[in-house]
Amino acid sequence: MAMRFQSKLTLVYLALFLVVQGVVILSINRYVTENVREQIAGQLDASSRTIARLIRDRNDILGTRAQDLSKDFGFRQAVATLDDATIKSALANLIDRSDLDIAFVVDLDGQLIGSVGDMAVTDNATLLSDELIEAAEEQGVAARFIESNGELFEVVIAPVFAPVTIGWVGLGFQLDREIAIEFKELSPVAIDVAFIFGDKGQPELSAATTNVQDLAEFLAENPQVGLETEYESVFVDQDYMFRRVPLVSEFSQGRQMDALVYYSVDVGLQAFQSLIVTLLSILVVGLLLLILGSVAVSRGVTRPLRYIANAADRISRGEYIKVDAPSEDIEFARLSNSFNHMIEGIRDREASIRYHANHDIDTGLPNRNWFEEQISPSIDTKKPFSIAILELQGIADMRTVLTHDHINELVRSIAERLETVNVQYLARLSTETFVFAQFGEDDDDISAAMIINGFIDPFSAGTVMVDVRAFMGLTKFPADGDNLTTLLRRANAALDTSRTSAKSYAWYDRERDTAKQDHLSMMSDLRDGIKNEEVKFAYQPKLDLSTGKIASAEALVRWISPTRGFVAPDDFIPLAEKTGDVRYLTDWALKEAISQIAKWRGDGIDIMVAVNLSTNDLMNTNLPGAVLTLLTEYSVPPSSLKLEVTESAVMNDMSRALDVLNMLSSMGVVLSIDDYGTGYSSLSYIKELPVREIKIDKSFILKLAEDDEDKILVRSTIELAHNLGMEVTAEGVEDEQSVDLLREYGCDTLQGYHICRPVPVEEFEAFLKSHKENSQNI
Amino acid sequence: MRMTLRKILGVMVTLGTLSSFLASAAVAGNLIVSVSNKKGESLENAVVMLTPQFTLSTPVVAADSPEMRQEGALFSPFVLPVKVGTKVSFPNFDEFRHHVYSFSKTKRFELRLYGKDETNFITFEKPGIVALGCNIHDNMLSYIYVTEAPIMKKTDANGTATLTDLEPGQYKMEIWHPGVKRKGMPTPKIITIADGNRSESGQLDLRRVWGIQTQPAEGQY
Ligand SMILES: [Cu+2]
Repeated sequence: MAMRFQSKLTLVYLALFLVVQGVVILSINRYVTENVREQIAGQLDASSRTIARLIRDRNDILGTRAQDLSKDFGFRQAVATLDDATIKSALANLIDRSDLDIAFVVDLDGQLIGSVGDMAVTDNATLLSDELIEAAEEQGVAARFIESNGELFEVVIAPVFAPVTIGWVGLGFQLDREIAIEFKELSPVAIDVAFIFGDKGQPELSAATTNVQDLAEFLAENPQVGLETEYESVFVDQDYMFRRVPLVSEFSQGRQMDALVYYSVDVGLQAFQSLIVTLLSILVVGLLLLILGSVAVSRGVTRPLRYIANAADRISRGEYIKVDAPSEDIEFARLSNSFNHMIEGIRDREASIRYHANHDIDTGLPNRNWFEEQISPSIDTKKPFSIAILELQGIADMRTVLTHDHINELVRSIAERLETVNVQYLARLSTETFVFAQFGEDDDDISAAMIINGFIDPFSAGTVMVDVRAFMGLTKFPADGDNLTTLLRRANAALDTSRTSAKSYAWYDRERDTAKQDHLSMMSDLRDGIKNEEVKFAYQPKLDLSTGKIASAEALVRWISPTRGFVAPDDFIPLAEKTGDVRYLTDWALKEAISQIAKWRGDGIDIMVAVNLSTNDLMNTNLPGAVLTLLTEYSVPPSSLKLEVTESAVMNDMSRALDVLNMLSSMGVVLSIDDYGTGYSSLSYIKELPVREIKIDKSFILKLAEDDEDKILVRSTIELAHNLGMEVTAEGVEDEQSVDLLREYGCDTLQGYHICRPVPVEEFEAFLKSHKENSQNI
Repeated sequence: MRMTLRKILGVMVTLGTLSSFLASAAVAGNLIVSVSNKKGESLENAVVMLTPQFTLSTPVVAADSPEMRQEGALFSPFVLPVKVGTKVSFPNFDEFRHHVYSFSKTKRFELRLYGKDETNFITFEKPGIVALGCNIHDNMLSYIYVTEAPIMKKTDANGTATLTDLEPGQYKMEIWHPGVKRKGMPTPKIITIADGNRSESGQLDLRRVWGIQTQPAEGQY
């Protein structure tokens, strides 16, 4: 996603600012929160201690009151004499004075003698446990908490002496809201206080400084409050911290009773809210300043950049105009300078590229590209013209006598002469060809002849004058093609024709071209055919006369095309050699033959297979390596492979062919000269070749029985070959007499329809089997 | 003949009296009673009481006006066993006044502030425990144990009460102590006293805490 630099810069600054501020605010917030929580925890602990102390103090006061009362002679007398009225008035008096809730006297049997206050409490039979009484006897006073109808009381009892214990006086106060508020007020901070009781699973609320209903609901939902000493949860939508202060005395009932102190963390944090507001304000103000600042800064940066961007846009449109960017900043002044240098550089280079694109480097003549540019308007406007490709003969040969510069000069002088004739858009098409167009009313053939005649006089090439011959192919627009590519291709086809023409020039001939096109399509079909396994081998067995066994076979290519039917090897192999497609065929043939050898060897059939090589193959110095790779891949010994080459193939470029053949021979591959007798047929040169065998062409064998001349030739050839240490195979053995003659002449191997025609693999294997059986029978 | 008979009767009575006199004079038993608590610790101030199950040849003469002294802000003795109907004197030997009282059902009384050398008398007509206190001095506490038994004795510091010159015969033996549980009195026991010494022991179940008299705080009075 493209984004303006200005926005990017602003965004980066913003992100950085936000991150830094965010970290600051977060850490302050965290620090404050932790601090507040610690403070609240500390305050709750302090309040817990305060409440525990307050309760203890009240106990002490209560105990003192109870003891004082029990020592009062009148009270003792009243208790001793069961003077109800006096007892009641004494207790009532004490309650009023001491702000108590209950007061009572029981005799030694636990019978209530008199009471004031909540009867439900004073009548409570479990109030005075034996343990409590014993403690009061021993210590003079004892205290306990009790729960009655959901209300919590603290009760202190003391014995009434007269002078021995005659009963017990008890005083108590309720842990009600009033007390809770009192505790809250005595606490260092305004923490809230509640009194809870109940079984551990489910605490119940007795009194609280806050709304009782809310807290009761909270307790119902958070029973853990009754278990944990410290607890924290959301209460009335605020984060509250709780501390449980167990109301423990040695003599409490089984029920648990606790004071609960709690405080809202949120309330604690309120004090810091102004700080947070200040921080946020700083953040917002800073943010605004930052946006304004970064916009201003990035404007300053992007303005000169925009100039340069505009200049770059102009360059892309081909307008090389220098930038005149404002240069307050050194960086931007340098940038626009460099940019202007770059513009100059680009302009120069473009001119150079344009020149090279349109001109031949050696001669400075226009090239094909230029020609295309020139001619295309004519094609677009359908203006009739003709195109000629003119080929110079012997330029390659001249390189041996002329320097490069001289040749360039020669080409230039040819061009000069051509331009004197009525030619348009003359351009050098390749090293040895020119292309040009002709418009005009002149008779086409006259014009062409004039051009060719222009070559009668020699051309100057430096210090020498050189004769150059030329051929020319011509096409007409629009008759021969509606685009330049077609026209040039057909002009080339015409050029081919001109080479054999007496006139040295030729017009494009559509019919002739069609045949050629058919050949090309056949090669295309052949390539597909090789891939689609339409091409197969037929194997023709060779009979070893000395053993009477079939020891080898020649692999012959058979192509049955789904569209063309059976295509004779003579129809496509020479063509393939011409077009170079034969290399696909050779690749296939070597692989197929070697893999077949390997298969047969696996089946226990030891047969040497011969494959034919073409002229091209002998020029291919990579061939020996390819053969070796295949032999290794299929673990086939080289001696199982025979390669047959024709005399003419070897003669084409003897030195190169020798390199290839020597390599193959040194690898151990058996080489054979095929079709012996049809070419030079000079055994003197054949002996120079690393071949083991010659194959006498079938034209000498077919009528061997009748033709005496053939007999002499064959016989002498076999003898000569044997003398040179080579073996001889006779091809085209078709009758028994020939077999007898060849046996008589000492021929080593026979091949021909009389032994077996070339047959597919399965048939070949069957033949081998039957031949073996027959020979064994003999 | 009639004279002779009366004489004979008189002689017989005289003889009987004499014989019994002679017997009491000549034949007497001693009873040594050891009193302890459940832990086996000797108990001082336990009261051992004997009630003869026969008519004594010589009735026991009750002590005349036994004292419950107030001395040094203390009652003395701590435990005073008396027979029913005994008049007890309450002499004050201190320089200051006391206000002796009893709220016990056995004898409820109050001797309002009386000074040195002032002696009050209280007669205890009913058997039972009388706990005495002083309204001025809270530490002061003593017990008067009023019993119908003619013979009584307190145990000494060793927890032993020795009762001497007992006329042989069957007696009911009871033991009391101020700390005994309210229903922890041992059941009375019938014992037979013969010539010579006899030992008995008694075990009392005491309350964990019971009222004792403590020394007055230093310089308080
Ligand atoms: Cu006194």
